[in-house]
Amino acid sequence: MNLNDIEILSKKIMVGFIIYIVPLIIISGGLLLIKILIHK
Amino acid sequence: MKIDTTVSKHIGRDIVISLFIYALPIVTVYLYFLFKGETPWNSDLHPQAAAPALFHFIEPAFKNLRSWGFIVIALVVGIFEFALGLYDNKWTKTERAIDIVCFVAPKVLLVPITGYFSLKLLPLLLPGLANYFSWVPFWAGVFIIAVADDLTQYWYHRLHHQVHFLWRFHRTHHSAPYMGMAMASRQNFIYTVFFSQIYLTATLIYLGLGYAALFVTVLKTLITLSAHSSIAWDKPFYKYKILHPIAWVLERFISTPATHHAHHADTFDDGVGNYKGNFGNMFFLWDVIFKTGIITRKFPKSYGIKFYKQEEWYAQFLWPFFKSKKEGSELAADGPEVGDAEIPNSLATA
Repeated sequence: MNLNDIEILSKKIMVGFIIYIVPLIIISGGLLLIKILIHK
Repeated sequence: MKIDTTVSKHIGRDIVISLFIYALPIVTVYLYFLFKGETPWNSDLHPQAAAPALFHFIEPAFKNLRSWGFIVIALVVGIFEFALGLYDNKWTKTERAIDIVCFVAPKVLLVPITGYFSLKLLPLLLPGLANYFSWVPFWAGVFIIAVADDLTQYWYHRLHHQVHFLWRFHRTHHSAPYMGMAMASRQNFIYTVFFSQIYLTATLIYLGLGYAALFVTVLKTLITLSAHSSIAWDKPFYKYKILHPIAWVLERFISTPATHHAHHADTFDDGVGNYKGNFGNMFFLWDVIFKTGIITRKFPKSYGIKFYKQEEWYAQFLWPFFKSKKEGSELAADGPEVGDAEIPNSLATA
């Protein structure tokens, strides 16, 4: 492992995290929004 | 981030489309409750109870498949493939070592990691939110998990092919000059351990969609295992004219051996191989929507990667922690990032 590898690994983890967090925000945010919009 | 301009534009466009696809099940749930005038979060009814009786009936089978069934299926089919001489003389000592390590190690190492994430990290990061969305109906849970899990894996997979610095994490999955059950688990460990969809689905399970996730993930594993296998279950659908309409739908909806084997081909030249496309795992639908798929109903004559140097098993499994000693290898300390960078990414229409 050298500095370049660490940089590649960090970028890889960052890409993976974005792919994880964006759908999670859309889904959980959307479900929360449903509760707010259809409030009885 | 080195990336072809045309590919970059397509990625940008397809990401925007994907955001709408992720939202589609949520919009459906909203419209459903809006028209029905229901507020299920005020009810004590658990979505499991509302699942059709069939799912309660098949639940034990799905649980067994998930816990030990798939391991047995992969082993039995793998032995069957080996006995039939599928691997011929291509299953060298190096290939054997990679296939076996990649089959065993994640089953031992990944479980504690995902277990820690689900049982320790999520309650810490999202305290009090366990089962917060358990009011989501079973059918909606299935819809949400199917789209979220598989579209996320599509993107994870596609980016590892189209973004140069990511390729070497995925290369091991393509390096074998044969196709078979072993390919399903043959991955670099870093690629496997950072699979985004594993953590996304685990989070959605924590939030209350666990029952739906059981059925989706088991079905997904069945489809992806069979797409990698040498058992071409889809061939009868292409052979008999009466089955062609079913084949037309099937091959556009889910990954079949034909479309996924094409993804593992070592060349485009035969008009069958599409190793820079056909990224779908459970659903091939993503490849159809984003025009990254090619459907030929044929199987490639050869598999693998042209610039393969039979790198050591430890380099293939644990790059970049361990490097290959093979000169000119992508996995060597001074090797190229991508061996075939000059070949444009396939953007053919499905």
